[in-house]
Amino acid sequence: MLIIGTVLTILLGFIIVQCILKQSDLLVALGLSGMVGLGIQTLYMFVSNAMGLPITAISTVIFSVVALIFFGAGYYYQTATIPFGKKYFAGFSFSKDIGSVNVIWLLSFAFTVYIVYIISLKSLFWPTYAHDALTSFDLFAKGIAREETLLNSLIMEKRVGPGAAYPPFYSLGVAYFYQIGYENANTISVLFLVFFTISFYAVSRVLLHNSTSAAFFTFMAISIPEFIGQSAINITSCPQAMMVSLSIACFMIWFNQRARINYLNLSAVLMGLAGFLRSETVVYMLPVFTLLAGLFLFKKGIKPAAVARFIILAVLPLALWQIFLKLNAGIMEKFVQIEFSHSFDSQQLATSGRLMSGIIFSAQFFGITPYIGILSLILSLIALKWGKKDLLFFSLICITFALYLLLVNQMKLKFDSMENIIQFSGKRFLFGMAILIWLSLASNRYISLLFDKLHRSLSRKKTL
Amino acid sequence: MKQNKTKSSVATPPKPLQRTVRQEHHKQAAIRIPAIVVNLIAGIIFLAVITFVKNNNRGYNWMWEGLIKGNIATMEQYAEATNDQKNQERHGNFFTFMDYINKKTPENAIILMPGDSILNQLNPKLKLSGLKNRNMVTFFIYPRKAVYSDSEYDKKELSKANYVALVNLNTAQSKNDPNPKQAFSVQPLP
Repeated sequence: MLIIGTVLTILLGFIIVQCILKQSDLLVALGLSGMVGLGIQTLYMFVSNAMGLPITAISTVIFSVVALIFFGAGYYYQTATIPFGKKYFAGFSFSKDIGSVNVIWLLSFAFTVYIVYIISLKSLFWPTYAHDALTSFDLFAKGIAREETLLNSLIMEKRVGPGAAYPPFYSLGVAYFYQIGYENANTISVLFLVFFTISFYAVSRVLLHNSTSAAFFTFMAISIPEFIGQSAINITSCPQAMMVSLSIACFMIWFNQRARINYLNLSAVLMGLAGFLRSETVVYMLPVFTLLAGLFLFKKGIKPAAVARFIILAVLPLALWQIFLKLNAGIMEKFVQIEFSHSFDSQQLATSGRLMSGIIFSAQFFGITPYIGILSLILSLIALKWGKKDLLFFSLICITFALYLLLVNQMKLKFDSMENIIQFSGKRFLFGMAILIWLSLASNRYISLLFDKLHRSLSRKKTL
Repeated sequence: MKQNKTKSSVATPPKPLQRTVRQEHHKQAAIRIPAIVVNLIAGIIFLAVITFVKNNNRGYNWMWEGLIKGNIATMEQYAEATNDQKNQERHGNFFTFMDYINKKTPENAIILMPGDSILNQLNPKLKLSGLKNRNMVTFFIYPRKAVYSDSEYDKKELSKANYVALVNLNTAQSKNDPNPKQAFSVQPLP
């Protein structure tokens, strides 16, 4: 069951991404397969349980097989007329990347593989240790796996932490892993980290059109100290940052090449699954929705159906969870720690901003990332004469951060002060933005030109 | 016709210049640095920059020395350890006690835990603070239930408790008998 269950997760994700992308960049589908597959399975577990069905491994496996046949058939008919080579290797090919290997690609690749390998080994070596995982996500997953329902005895008797009120992707994912036979819940952290690394390289490769640049910036994104440190821990912050940064990267691929509408759809699916991990994903959704609405209003090559599809796909999982919370308010209310204030407190905003800036510029947490952000901003401003794309990408990150601050400012915690939360957990809020800062620099016009020149001279290739 | 002649004479660059460009191109090709040398230089610069950043930034230094090297060393140290031993290493006596409860009680046991008055007297060095955390205890003993007399959520379950977890303070904190295992017990309730 363990092998069948795992293979099904990956296959399901692979076929779904293939269906969305149609003519695929194969490595993108492979990289996203683990996360998307598990996301769709947990969505099924949640919806079926909300409708009264028990959460069992057999049920999830049967669903996965049916979905696999359905999407597989859909993909076959969608692409039946496309020749095999074009169907699978229409985009870039990893073997070609290896063929045009150079020292920067090779060293970046080697370091990335080494770091991911050690962190994965660490994850699998130790049992769950992090406090939030022990008292919330992992414990809740144990309850779901054993009692086969979300509203289990742990919820009824409040024997689990406030993490039970978080959207249930992570806990359901761990529960599925327990049910198919894994003993260590950290397996899910490894799944996210490994598949994120592959897909970040693949998506960057499509966005940047340059294998050297993609490998280098994957290495730098993976090396954000606190992010990689927490990747080994069984909590939701890193997986959400991974999903949401990939979603924005896919969005930028579409933004740069409007013909690639499939990447917009993929971005929506990833955004939706990120929202199914943590509710605060709304701060990433809002700027993207606003941008899409703006593009639609100013008739910049997007149809209303595409905007509507994006918003529905991105919002649906989180909306379903919020409906579930409302329907079971009597039971779930005790886990909800947050209340929203309707009054605006400028003094608290200043305090939150001060605390956050302390975290951002802490070398311990983000290394050189904040300085890379400043460099990216300066280069984006200089690149304005060539177009607004670079500045727009950077603005998306800044608006997301501003919305985060605003969200934090309006939140009132029942059991703790906001200052404490920012001081101890504030760094986790910023992982997604830190990854995107590296990507914004990578996609900057001047950095792209620099890496194009570097790639050509090191690989002795006329093309990228 | 005249105009055509003039145009063609202007459009065609003078022959000597053409030769010079070609010659320059050949010259450049002849002194082109081999790819392996360029890559070697780039590799050295790349490694030098990475090393510089690692040595001069607290975060990257921690990542390399603490997270990566430190974890390799710890994993080697506990290479032969069982899952229980790893848990014990991380959670100390708290895990020992939870493991003891799991071994001595059935899965449907409802266990009355020691109250705050006792737990607050425990020496922090014993690493038993986890006992105060109802959710943490539940993680290790689930599906057994831990009930606390001072918890508002356990009021209904208190009367159903069929076991009691005991901490013998004198034994637990005795200087003569530092083995805390002897200080824990779990007894069935009549």
